[in-house]
Order: sequence, then structure tokens, then C-alpha cells
Amino acid sequence: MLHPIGRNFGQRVIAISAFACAITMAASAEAAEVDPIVLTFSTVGDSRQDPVSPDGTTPLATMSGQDKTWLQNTKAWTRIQRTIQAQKSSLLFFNGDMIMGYGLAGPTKSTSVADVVASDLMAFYRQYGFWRGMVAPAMETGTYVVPVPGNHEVQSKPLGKKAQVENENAWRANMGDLILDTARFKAIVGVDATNVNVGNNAAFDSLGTDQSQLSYSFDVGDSHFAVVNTDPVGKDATAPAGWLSSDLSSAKSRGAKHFFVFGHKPAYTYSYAPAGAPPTPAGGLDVNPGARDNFWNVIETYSATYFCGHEHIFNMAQPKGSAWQVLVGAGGSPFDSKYGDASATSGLTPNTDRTYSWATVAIRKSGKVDITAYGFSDSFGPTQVLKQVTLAH
Amino acid sequence: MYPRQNNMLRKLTVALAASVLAASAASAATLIDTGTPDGSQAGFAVDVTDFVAVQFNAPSAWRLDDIGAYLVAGNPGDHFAVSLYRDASGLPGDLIASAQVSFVADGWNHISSLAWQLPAAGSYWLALEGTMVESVPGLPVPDGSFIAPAGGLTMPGTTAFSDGSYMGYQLQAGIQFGLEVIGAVPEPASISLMLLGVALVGVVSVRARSRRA
Repeated sequence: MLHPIGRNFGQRVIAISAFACAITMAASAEAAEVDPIVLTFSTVGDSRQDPVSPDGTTPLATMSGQDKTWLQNTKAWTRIQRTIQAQKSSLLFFNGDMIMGYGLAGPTKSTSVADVVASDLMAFYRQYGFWRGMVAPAMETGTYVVPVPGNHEVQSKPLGKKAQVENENAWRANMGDLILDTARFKAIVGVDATNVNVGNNAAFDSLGTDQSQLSYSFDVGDSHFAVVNTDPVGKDATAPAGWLSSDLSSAKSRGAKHFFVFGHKPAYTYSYAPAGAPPTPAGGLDVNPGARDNFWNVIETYSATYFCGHEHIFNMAQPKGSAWQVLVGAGGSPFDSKYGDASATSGLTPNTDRTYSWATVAIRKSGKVDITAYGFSDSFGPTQVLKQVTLAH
Repeated sequence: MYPRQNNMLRKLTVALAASVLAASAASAATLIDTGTPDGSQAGFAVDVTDFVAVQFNAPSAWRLDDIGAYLVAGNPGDHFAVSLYRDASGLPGDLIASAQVSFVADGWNHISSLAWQLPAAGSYWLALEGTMVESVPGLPVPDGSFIAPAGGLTMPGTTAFSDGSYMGYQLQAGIQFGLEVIGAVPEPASISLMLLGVALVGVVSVRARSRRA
């Protein structure tokens, strides 16, 4: 008879199995406590190509006819969008310079076909149309695109790199439907955009032109999102700090816990100069240090995070030790750090000075906010993590 | 039953159990163990656009039973895929097998009971890939995105990535991701030992029955 042995053996097996199950169940219970993500958004800027000085690794000779005509870095910008969508971002804030623009979207020299086709107005609208076509699939597959005006949209280079009211009007004509279609927003994101403020708030900062849909804000849950036009007509390279202060104050009073601000120009220029060379000259809001300080004080006061572009490079920094400036201006435009610069390291180690890059932000139920910057090299290598920080609130 | 027979049966049963354990312990083996990432190198994105793969050599025909991947930044319940490819001129070639793995938590996430067969010794590829899910029929959407931390890992071979473009997998040295693969390889000596134990138990049992009769 084998029963006594078999029974004992069976009991041991059952006991061991029960122990193993208990361990497994404990592990499952622990996994269930993971802090869930309540909202994910991504942000990037500067995808426009340059007809005169494209990046050294993508010389005009190798640019497609498509990119020469519509002045986009289609390859990089498309790939960035692919991964952003794979990351299931509900919102995509594009921090300006989506078009080359930089002319005057005003009256044409004459009404002849040749003059109309050759006009800046036509160029603006053509380039806007191509960019809108590139982001249209995102809008159809779960990512609402939120545009931020950049200097190439609102300024004219031939007119002294000054913002022009014609260009502000062209912005509204080409982007206004996105700012903000609350019904479409709800359909795409799944939650409402509330406290939408897209009106003309120019008076807060004594601006002379209509700033509706150029600087604007809205809430999603307990997160507040504000977009600032960093080149308003008459006050180029100046963020509307007066309006922003009022806007963030209102948001805080109604219970907002997270403050995210998006603009084109950095408050603090990132110096990417090679070792031993003079630092990169100020090219952001810091060309007006007093106004910049007013703006940054607002950012610091509300523990906001400022996302920007303009410099075609990646950098994350805490200029005053607290609030983060997240510079994600390498969305396809020619890199500021030139090929072969000493500041640009080589190999697979993220070459952040010459890396197409963006940030994806996850807001968790606990209130923690994870900012993860991703990128791929100028030679289109694998997508890597460039930097990760967690903001605890 | 006589006490002496009982003792004999106990010993034989223990011997049989030991031989079974010896056989299984001898055949189950680790084919790939990169170690656990230390974070000293930037991690890599893994999602429906971004795949990473590593080449490895199987010394003989193998069966892959358990694959673990070290991933973070996912949501519990999201999925990634582990895929096994033949080597084709130094890149992942024909797909041999693929399985979805449920992401549980940051760290090692395993799938077991695969029983994937490597038909012969040679070069193969294992890949971590993103997956799609159809919550609404006909509307597949990404089923998770992850980060594969890197640093301090020993990869078994050259590496490759895919960025979701028409180019497919592309070689890229230096990619790291945490990978553990446990499998089995047939070992005739262990199997013979186990069969011998079974035969002995059978003989003793028959003799005991005939004595009782």
C-alpha cells in the first residue's frame, strides 16, 4: 500500500503550492498599488526646415522635394509623433515654429497669379496647411494638438525680426479652430477642457494688438495649462507676465494643483557652446532681463513648469533652483549645435545637443508628475530616455 | 503491508522523486541572463513604434520556457511582446514565435510555459516590442509604453532596433535591456536515470504484490 506515503507527499505538495500561491497573491496585491496615470501629455517644438541652412547631417541635397517645398523635417517630426501616439498622450503641445514663415502674411504685390503664388501670405498658408495635415492623424487617433505661437509664425525677418499684426491674424486663421474646440477636445481626450480662456487679454500687459488665441489657458481636471505668446506685437521677446499671474491666480483659487506653461522662447537661454568658446548669446526672453524676471517670478510663485522651444536643442534645468524650464526645441529644425561641435558627444550615450527630442508628462493619481524627455540621435538611432524627473505635489 | 516492504517503498519513492528532480534540474538552464540594469546608461523606449532586439547563439536545439524582461514606466495590465526570430544576415528575420506579456510592475516581468522550440543550434534574435489592443473592434490602439532601463548589462550578442518606419530592424551596437531566458535542452543521461527509477519502482511493486498473493 502506498497510501500513507502518497498522502503525506500530497499534503506536502499542497502545502508548498499554497505557500507559492500566497506569495504570488501578495505580489499581485503589491502590483495593484501602483500609482495610476490620470493624464498624459507630450510637448515639442520647432519642426520647420530651413531653405538656406538645413542641418549639416541633412543637407539640401538629401532633402526630399516635399521638405524643400513645404519646409518641414518630415522624417523627424513624423517619427516623434509616432512615438508620442504610442505613448498614448492625450494632448500634444507644440511650442511654436511649426512653419518657416518669418515674412509678412499681408497683401500681395498684385493680384496676378505669379505674385500671389510667390507671396509671403501664400507661403504662410501653404506651410500651415502642410503642418496641419501632418498633425491631423493625431487628432483622429486620440491626441488633441494644442498650438503655441513662435517667432517664425508672428515675426517678420525682413521687417527687423518684429512681430506683425498680419502674422497674428494668419495664426488665428490657421490655428484658431484648435484653440479651443471644446466638443472635439472632449471627444478626443475623453474629459472636458474647462475654464477655457482664449479671449483678448492684451490689456493685462498693455499690448497693442488682439491677443486672443495667442495667449490662452484652460483646465483639465486639477491641472491648469497656459500658453503664452512670447513675441506679441510691440513687445517682442516678452511673455505676458501680467496676464499669466492673474490667470494662474484664478486657477489656483478654483483648486488647480498643477500648473504647466508653454511658450516658444526660453526664459533662460541654454548655452551649448563648445568648451572654451564664448557662451551662447541670450536669444530668449532673457534679452529683456527685467521682463524675463517678472515672468519667471510667476512661474516660481506657482511652482509651474515652463516648456519651450526656439533653441533647436534639448535641455532641462532649474534656473533658480526650483521650477523647471524644459527646452524641447529639437522637433526637426536644424540643430543649433553644429555637427562636430565639441559640445555634441558621440556614440549611443544620448547626444542631447544633437538629439531630436520631446517630453512626455504623466500626471498620477497621487499628484506626482513624471516628466520624461525622450529623443533619438541626428542619425536616427533608437529612442532613448534623455532625462526623467518627478515633481511631488 | 510488512514494515520492511514499507521502508523499501519509501526509499524507492524518495529515489524516484530525487531522480525526477535531478532530471528536471539538469535540463532547465539559463540561456540568457543580462543581469539587472543599474541605470548608469540611458534607457530605451519600448512601444508600438520602438522595438529593441538582441542576437544570441543557441549551442544546440533548445526549448525556451520562461522569458523575463526588465521594464519600467508602464501601467499594470498593459502589454508588451517578446518575439523570437531567426537570424537573417545579421538581423531579425522570420518570426518563430511571439507572445504578449502582461506588465505587472516596474522590474522583471516574466512569461512562462512558452515551450518555444529552437529547431537547431545557431543564431537567433529575441525582441521586446509594443503591442496593440482592440478595445473597440477594428480600432487597434497602443497597449502600453515602457522604458527598458540600461547600464551594467551583459548582452549576449549584437543589438538592433526598429523605429516603426519602413526600414524595419536596423543594427545599432550598444543597446541594452534586461533579459532573462530560461529553457531546457534534452539530456539523455538524466532521462535515462529517471526511467531507471521508474522501472525499479515497478519491479518492486510487482514483487510485493506477488508475495502477498
